Amino acid sequence: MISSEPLTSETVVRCEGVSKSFGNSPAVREASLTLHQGELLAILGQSGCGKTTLLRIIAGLERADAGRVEIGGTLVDGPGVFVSPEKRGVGVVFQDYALFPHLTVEQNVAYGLTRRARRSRVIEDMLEMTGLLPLRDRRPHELSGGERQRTAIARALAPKPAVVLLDEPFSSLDTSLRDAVRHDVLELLRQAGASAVLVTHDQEEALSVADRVAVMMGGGVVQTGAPAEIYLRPANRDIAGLLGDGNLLPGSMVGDCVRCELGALPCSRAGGCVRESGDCEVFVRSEAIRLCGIDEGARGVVERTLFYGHDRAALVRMESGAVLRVRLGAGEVLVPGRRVGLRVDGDVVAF
Amino acid sequence: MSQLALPTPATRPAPRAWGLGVCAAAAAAVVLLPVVYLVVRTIGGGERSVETLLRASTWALAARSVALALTVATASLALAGALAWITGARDLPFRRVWTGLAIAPLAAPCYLGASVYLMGLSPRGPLGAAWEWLGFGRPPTLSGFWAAAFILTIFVYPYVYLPLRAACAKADRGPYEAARTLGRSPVRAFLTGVAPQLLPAAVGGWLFVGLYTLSEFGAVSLLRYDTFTRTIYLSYTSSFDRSAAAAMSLLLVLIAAGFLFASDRFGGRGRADRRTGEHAHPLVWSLGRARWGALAFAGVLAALTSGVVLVVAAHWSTSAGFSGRTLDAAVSTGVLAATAATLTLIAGWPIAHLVVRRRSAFSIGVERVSHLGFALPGVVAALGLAFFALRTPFYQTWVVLLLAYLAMFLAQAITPLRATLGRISPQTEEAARTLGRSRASVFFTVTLPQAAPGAVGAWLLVLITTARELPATLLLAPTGVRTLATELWGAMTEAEYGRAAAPAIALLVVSCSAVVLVMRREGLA
Repeated sequence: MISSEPLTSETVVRCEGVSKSFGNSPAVREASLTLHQGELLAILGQSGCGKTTLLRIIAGLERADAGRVEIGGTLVDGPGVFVSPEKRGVGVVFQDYALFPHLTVEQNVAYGLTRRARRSRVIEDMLEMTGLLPLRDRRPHELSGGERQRTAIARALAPKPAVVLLDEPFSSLDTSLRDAVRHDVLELLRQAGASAVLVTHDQEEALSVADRVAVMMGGGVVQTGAPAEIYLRPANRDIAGLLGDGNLLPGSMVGDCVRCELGALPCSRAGGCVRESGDCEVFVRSEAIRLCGIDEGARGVVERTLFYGHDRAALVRMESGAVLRVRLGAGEVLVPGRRVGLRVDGDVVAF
Repeated sequence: MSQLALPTPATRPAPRAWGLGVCAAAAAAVVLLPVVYLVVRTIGGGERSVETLLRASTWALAARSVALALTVATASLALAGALAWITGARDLPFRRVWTGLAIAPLAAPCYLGASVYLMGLSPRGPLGAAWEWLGFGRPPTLSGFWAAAFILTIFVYPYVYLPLRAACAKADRGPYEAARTLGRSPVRAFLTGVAPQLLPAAVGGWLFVGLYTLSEFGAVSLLRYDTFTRTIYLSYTSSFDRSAAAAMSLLLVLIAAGFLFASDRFGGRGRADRRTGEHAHPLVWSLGRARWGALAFAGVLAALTSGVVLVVAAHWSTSAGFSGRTLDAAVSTGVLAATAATLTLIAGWPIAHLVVRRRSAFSIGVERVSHLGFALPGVVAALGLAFFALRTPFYQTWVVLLLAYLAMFLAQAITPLRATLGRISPQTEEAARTLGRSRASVFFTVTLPQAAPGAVGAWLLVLITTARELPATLLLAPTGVRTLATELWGAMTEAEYGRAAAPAIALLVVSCSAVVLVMRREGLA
């Protein structure tokens, strides 16, 4: 739907070695990523990692100091080349939506359309798809958070952009509303067949909705891959720490196994980080640790239990003194002071 | 469905905002123009300038001006403090009415207030008649220091009242309550917990009124109290000692700049952070038994200001016909003020934009320079530009007068514009760019519609201020051009009160809209 003619390349957006500094503080350093046709790519990173700046560079709202940006196979930012944002064919959904407060919903959606496109059914279709038809004459201040969100999406999608960029679009919504709106929005993007980049600091969001995830740290893209790959095989301990909770233990490599306090475990290695043998760090996800009989596994004493509603966890002090975080099943109840056995059931990673 | 237009490679865009920077710098230069020419003229005056600056009489004049400024500022602060306490109290009946009455004197520029009192106390005036009827004998002649201090105080104290009232409204009662629970008496708790929150507004207002009094020309002249402004005006118009006028103007600008600097330094920018108060617990207090005394106080003050103005205006409106002359003056006032307001708004826009969107040493510097306009008394701005115009073909034309207005009122337009532009999310403009619009198109379809209400407010404010302006208009208006202010001035200096009534009433009507504007801005109406 987005492109009636197939693009010559599957790649919609390509960034290569993009860098950008503000004054003396570098925001983006040598970041590279690609977005494929019809794909939803999440850029995941903590605040200040440069993910929003990278998005703004792709949109043409900032100019890169170095590197290249291509959209649809055409160089839009590079040595001696800069295509202004209005000529890039990029739709942006801003964090606070940035709706035009003086225009109605319908006028907002129509804003990016040519005169001819406005006479066609594009506006109607867009409003219908986003469920905004009954609200078409409202002003942004008369809308709820979710309705504003949908207006912003409709406005960005209406001109049929090659790519839609979403900058933390769900962070200003209430938790109760967020899941539903997120689902609606992603459904809309899929319906429109749009290629999209979603910037977020919410790892659950990135893992659950994206086709691929690019993790950014310190201004650079440090790992790109499918959500499961990123989660199960983080490239380094920082990425591991960013995604989900887990435990780092000292250990040593022996062949394809790693030996640590929880026993000898088969493991995957983070690329190039670890020698064939010798000391390393072992990363064990808290849900990969299971309770077992006291004689069947490594021993520890429950220090505290944590209740989260949908699940619960325990902090277990091991004989070495290390404290491990263990995810508990629904029926498992522990009291502090109890001695337990622990074994590992699942992947571990060595760095 | 059409494929998106593939972007075409372009060359690196020109450095951004160059044009805006040049416009902003040019506007700020206009503010400096009069001062520059005063410096040139003073230096050109050589020995005579030095002699003027060293003369004892010059320094006596400085002392008289500063003494009046300090007296008016302090009296205004006392008056404003009392009124802020009274009108902010929870148990005051008709609070809004009293607040309106407290602000109302803003509607009369000081020279108009002085005119009203002079007209009222004249033999045919209603106040004089009342005075004699009460058996006080001949009505007093209003002139000299105390007359000037009285008239100025009761017509300028709202400039302290407004920020003080706003500070009271956003003050947090937390520190006061904490001090009380820690064993302090109400008075000491007020001093430690509340006073510091009100201090910036009080000091800022105090200095602003001082600055205003230093620049005041019309009222002190009508009340025959010699200050810098009056002496400069006389020595310029008598035209035998113009470099002395230039030297004295420079001295006045320096003193005024001192007040302005202190007001920025110690007064803070009070209004800018009003938002922070919204979540705080507001101060609440009652007058209790002091209520009747407070009402009497506020009532007497309202009678002395709004009451006197209304009585005198009503009295003279019956005897003075609105001649074609007044109509002429009203039309030229309107045309002149509208032109000046439009020009000022256009000139102020780039500066406000740069300060809001591209904060840099340059934009801050430009804004500071434009801010200096507040320290530019009308007499001084007029004099500087007159010296400038003598060397150009613009002498005795509208151009010079408009430049003077621009220099004086640029800052007045920038302040509300800045607030307006600051409220527009830059992302709405960015969103518009990504939707395929050029910079120019974004300005007209996104920025301007959002800025319109604030811009119109700024425009009206400058319009009204210009319409009331006296000294610069008096000195620079092309021969034969009369405005309401100069008409009133002409009649008053010749003591033709009957002729003064019509322009005075017209000015009052124009000015009342200023009060409404201010009240809306302060959220009081």
